Amino acid sequence: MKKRYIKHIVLLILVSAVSASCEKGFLDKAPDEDLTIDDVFAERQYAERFLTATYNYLPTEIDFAEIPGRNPFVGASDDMEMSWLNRFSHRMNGGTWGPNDVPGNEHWSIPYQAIRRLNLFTENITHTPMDEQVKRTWVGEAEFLKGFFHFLLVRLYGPVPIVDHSFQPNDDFSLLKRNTLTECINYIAGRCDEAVELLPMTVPAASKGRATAAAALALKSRALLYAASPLFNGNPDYADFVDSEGTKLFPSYDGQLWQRAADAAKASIERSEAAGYRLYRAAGNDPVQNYQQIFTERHNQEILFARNLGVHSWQEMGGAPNSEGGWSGLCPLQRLVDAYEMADGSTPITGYESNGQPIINTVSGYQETGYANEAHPSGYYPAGIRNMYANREPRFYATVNYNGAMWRGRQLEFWNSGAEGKSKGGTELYSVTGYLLRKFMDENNVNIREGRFVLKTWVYFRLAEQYLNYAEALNETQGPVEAVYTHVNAVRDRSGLPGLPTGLSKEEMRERIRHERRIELSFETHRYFDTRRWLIAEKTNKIDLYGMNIHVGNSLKDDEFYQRTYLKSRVFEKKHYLWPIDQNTINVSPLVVQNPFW
Amino acid sequence: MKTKKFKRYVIPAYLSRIWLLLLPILLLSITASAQHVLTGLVVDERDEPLANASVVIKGSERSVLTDVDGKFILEITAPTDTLLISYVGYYPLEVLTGTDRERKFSMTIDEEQAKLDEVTVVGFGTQKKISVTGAISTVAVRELAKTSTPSLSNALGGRLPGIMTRQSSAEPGSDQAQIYIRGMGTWGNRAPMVLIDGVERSLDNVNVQEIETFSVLKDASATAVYGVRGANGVIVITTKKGVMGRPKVAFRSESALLQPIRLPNYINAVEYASLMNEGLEHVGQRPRWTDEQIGMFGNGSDPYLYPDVNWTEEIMRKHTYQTINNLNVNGGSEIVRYYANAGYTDQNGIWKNDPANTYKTNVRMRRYNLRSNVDVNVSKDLVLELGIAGIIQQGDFPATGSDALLDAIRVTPPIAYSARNPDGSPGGTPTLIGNNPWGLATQSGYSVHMHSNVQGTLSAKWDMSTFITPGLSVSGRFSYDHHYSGGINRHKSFEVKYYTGQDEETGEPQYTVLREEQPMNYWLWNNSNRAIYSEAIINYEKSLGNHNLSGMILYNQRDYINITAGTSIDGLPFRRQGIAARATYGYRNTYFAEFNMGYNGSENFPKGQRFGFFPSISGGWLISNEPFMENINFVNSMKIRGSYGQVGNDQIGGRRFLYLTSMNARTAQGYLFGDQQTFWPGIDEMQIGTNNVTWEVSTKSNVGFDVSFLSNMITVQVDAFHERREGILIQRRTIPNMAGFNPGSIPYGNIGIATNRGIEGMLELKHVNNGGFYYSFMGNFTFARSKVEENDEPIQRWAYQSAKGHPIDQPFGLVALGFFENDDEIANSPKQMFQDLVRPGDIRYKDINEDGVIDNFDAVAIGYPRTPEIMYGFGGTIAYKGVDMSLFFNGAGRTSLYLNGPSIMPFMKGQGSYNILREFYDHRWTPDNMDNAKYPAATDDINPNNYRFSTAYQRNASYIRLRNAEVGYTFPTQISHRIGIEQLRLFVNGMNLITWDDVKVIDPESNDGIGSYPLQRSINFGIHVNFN
Repeated sequence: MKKRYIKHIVLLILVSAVSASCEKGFLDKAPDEDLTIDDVFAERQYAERFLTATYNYLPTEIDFAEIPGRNPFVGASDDMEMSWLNRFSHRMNGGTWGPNDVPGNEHWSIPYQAIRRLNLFTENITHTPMDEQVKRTWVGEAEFLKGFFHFLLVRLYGPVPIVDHSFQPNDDFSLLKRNTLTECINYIAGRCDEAVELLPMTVPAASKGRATAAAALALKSRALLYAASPLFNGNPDYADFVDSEGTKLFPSYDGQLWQRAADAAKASIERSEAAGYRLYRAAGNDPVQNYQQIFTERHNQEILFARNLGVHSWQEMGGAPNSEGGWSGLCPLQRLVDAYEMADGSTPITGYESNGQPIINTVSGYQETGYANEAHPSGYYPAGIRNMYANREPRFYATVNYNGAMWRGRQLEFWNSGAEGKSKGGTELYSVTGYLLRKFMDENNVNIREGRFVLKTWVYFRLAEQYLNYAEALNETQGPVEAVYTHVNAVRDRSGLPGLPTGLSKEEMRERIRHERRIELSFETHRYFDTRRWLIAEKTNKIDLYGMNIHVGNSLKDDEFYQRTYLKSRVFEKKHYLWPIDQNTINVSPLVVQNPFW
Repeated sequence: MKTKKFKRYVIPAYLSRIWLLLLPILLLSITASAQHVLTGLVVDERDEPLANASVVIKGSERSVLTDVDGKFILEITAPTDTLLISYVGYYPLEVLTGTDRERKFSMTIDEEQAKLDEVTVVGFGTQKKISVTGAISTVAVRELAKTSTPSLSNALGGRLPGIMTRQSSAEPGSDQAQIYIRGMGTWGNRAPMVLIDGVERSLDNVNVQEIETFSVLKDASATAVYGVRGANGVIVITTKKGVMGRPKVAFRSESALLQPIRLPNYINAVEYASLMNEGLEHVGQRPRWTDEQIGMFGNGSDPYLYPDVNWTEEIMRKHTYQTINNLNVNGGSEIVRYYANAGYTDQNGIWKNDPANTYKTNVRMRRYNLRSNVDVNVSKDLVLELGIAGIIQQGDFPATGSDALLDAIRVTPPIAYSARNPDGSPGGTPTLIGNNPWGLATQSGYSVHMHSNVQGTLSAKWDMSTFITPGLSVSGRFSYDHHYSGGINRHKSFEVKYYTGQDEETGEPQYTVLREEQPMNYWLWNNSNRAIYSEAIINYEKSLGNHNLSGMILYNQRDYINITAGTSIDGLPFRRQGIAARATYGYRNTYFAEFNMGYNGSENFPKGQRFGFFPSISGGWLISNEPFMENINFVNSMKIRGSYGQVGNDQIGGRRFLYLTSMNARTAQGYLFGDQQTFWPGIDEMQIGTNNVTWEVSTKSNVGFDVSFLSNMITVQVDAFHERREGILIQRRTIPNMAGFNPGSIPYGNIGIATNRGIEGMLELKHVNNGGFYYSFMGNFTFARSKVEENDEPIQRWAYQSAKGHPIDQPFGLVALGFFENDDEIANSPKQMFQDLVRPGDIRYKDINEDGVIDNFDAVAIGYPRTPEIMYGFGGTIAYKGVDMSLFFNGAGRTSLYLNGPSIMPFMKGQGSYNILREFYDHRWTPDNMDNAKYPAATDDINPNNYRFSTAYQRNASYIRLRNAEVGYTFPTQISHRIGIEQLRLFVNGMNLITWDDVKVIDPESNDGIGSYPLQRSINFGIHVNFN
């Protein structure tokens, strides 16, 4: 009896132990408070966060090399050469890259990631309960950003697939293909038109960095300028370039595109100026300061759209000499130095001999030898610098650090044994051309040794570019009419240069405008794309690079140092006008055709 | 001698004396007709008493069972009566009762019957070995114990067929080998499930001395009952239990001297400085050092400004020490049986201490194992088993971990600075601040880790033979495991001073202080989790003439919670529940059939798709039991087995709730708005749910052949297997990046398919000759080759770049043809696209697609995966008169290792950074050493042409190791008894004694790279004592 009793107890314990935890729904356990996309768009504040994070996808073009491939374009233009060899721009310059070797695939993927977010945003924001006026603004920002991210793709790859809705994982992706260039440009322009409808022209100080109607007008102007340019507009090399269904991806020539570009630029300038935007001028109207401060005065009156970067050290480090803790990495080319006009607007160098020696325009007063006896009256340079750097136009002094230039209270020493010289730098920690970048850098408030850096912005759109866009498009469609002169001259005047000579032919004016873009917009990621859309990259990129002779020199007035010295040669082939599409993308989406000649 | 021993049993101990006291009372109660009373003792061949043997007087109803000491008392009416004594597994004994009042009866073991009765561990139970139809291998624990290691996983490689292991680090506390059962079946989680006493537990804490059985369940038949957890194979371990009898105490202690093997051999300062110059000159730059300076590195005239530091010797010991001790007691009665063990392991690391510290910084792992298994017969039918284990581990570490120290050694070249400045403080330079390996090892503080595991299991088995029907039993199990890890870190930033030379006038050393000393900080971390498991089983067995039937049905569930989870998702319980069933049928002990199935589910999957059904069938034919085999005497046993079925794997990369879509508000990137750039928070898409995620399903088939012959002297087992794993969870690869999903949120799908096939075999040979000379040989071999069938990869532009058709984890890289000898050769070769200037001495690659350029399209499958495709082991033991000797070799084949990193690719992190292996230095390309070069020329910096995955850096990582050698001596019993000891054995063994391989630079089991915490060679002295 007693044994029975024990048995029953044990059985009872066993059964209850199992059944106690065997309750129904044992497996029904899912996260409680984690957000779904519906939750996000049910609340205004979460929806705003979703849009906010999308801004972070804007490319940090200020980092010319920090993430390999983030902005290799400046280092691959004829503006400069990077000291550090392990950078993607060197691969581009050497022609040693291809569809299976595009770094990080960032230029293709990241814009599309941003575009997915923007499509999700505009598709879902409609049911968010909130103030309708604010909602309109947010949608406007999203439309602008859709256009901008598509533009980033088009400028690099030409025609790309337009993605105007969000995909689901189970969608059929095998049918994705490239839209025609015309469709792409029209899509971008359409986004801009919509954004202009929805957005204000300006935003208060606390909102600087948000997209405005001014930004959208500027994007439309640039996109249409690209569309009208020789690379995209009736390019004979691309005439037979079709997708897998035989559709021509590039249009045949249409002269009206220049007029459209001119109209867009005109609208951008007029509406922006009506809203208070101006070419920036510093207090005191000093020409060097006028130009230099465009990039250090955050969100000044010339800026149409810029990326906020926070306290950002990379570019200050990259451009600063090794002697002050920098990396001596961003080295302007001798060609760029030569391109700056003299202070009176004359051209110092008109071309090069086959051995790389310059053809000097003697009437300009440019001297390759000797040293300046006197300092510049406004203090742009001290006495004793090489004559080739003396008496140049003000933008030169705001853009390039050269041997003997004043920088942070001392004279720079790029000769071999100098403080910045090759013998003092570690591996790759010295300028390879004898020059370093000065533009964008904050001479007064940054101290690398003390770890002091400043808030930075990167300017995507500013009014001066719109002036030059307008001048270029107008000159192409109407020739050098007065409005062309006034807009180019306005940009020159701000930097203390006289106006262009009158009576230029359309072709002469074209060259003048191209030169003006090169100088005014140097290092702003324009040059790489401008040389391509003008189809001149064979001339500007298939070149021998020269710099000063950094391997020698023991003093400021050591003539040896100033001998133009061959650095290396660059490669450019026809296929390099557009980037290759990453091979994996083509593997996954067979209807996406590779760019010509790759 | 024999009688003496007999007497020892008759009236030996306290218990027996009580029994003697009771004897007269018992005798009085017996009927008066007794002629005499016989006091008997039943023993086996080795004179060990047999409890529970049945003693019957033939033709009468009088019968007794022997007690725990093997004794019985029986009243004898006539000396001519026949006594019938029987015991399971022994030949029955029939003798006349006779007239002696005290007698001993020796039973002889029935080998055939024992073979028939021998049981093997199977899923959720045991089964008679002859009827097993699945692929199950076991290993004797005494073999495992020969490898003197605190981590059981390191004792398994080559010990039993079907297991592949690779040990990549030997750091105390984290020296476990990776284990794969039958190679790789998936590219998700490949870890087998480990069951300890029926409960899913970690293999890492098991003490070898506590193990009773170690089995590996491999095919579908053996693992289908585990359903969704069985696909990667199952390791089943049971711990020792109490055996009826007087308390037996055993003590084993072993201590080992350990010596790190294959430490990286770096070049010295003179070689280093001249290599820097060589690299610079190679690219047309000026040398960094003058000849005079290089001379100063060599002559030690200024060890502070021109140092030559061997960092390995500076901070590593030549020897270290380890000890493993276990004391256990075991015994019990019919009512209660117990086994208890206490273990203590102390394993020391290889770092030097600084005597000036008040604390030690060397790694030291101390582990305390306590285990108690108690079985209680509550009644004749009901047995309760209570197992409790406590495992406490304390690890002492330098505040800078071993990996970081090894890294610091790698980073800091011999010429960087002296370990200590003239004033004794750690040296440094502005570029390598705070990286001084000696400083990091001894001056950066310490940390203490505590791990504590409590594992409790309560099981009950209720035999319902009398209660309901014969053969029916019910059992249940409940376990609660709790794990806690925690630790403190006392990290300190030590002072770093840069020695700049002596003051010219005073001769005082001059310093620049690069970093001030910071006070030692304090921080605490902890992790904790618990698991509750319960199961209930109904078992039924029935024999009807030649038919044997059995059935089993089970319910179980598990609930695991990570108590200190970092995210809300991880903090949710991991739950699983299911049922399993088995039916077996045997005919004439010759034909066997079996059906196994698991039906279980996991909460990780969407509702409606949580449960899966995993069936398997198997059959066996014991040919040796057929009548026609009766006359073939040299074959003792011969069996053919076959199985086919499905098993699942729900361990899909640790990702949870893939069916849910979630957004990330916590760590999303925000943006800065406003002219003052104020931060605005963001939200990201985190996971995009897919509705149909579920487990992987593996379809496995297995054919096996077992044979033993020549009086069981030779045993052979061979298995061939094939597995097809479908629904492997992988991130979709055919979603183009135009779709815009974040790389991290691209949905997963059960898309992957892989197959895995191979053979494995085992041969055992054992013999004792008449002179008492024993010898044995054991060998086993496993070959498994996987193949990717579907991985959702898009069609490749070059078909040879597809991973499909290759083994899982197949490396792809360029084929190196040698080195460019001159510029002409470069000009006439296909253009190599990895850097703009290629020089003589750079690697020349093969243009696979013959398109005239070498780029990433020329990468093809090279070598083998890092997990070996072949693993084998063999060894033997000889013993004669107390002396025994054994050797054990293991090895692996068809596996490749990739040498990687700046120590073999000089200056890839810049001039003067990182130590450089002598391997590179001695075999680099120079204009004078073109023909025998194994490595490219030294250059000044990273060389994108040379420093990429290619055959130039890939090595055949096959190896054979003399893994163990052991010599033991067991003292003759007459000597040991004299000192009150039942058995005394002394032994010496060695581990990792010799390795034959092609890698040579680092251990062939290392991960890709240049090795981590070095493996140890050990010489181990031990003593084993049994008290009785």
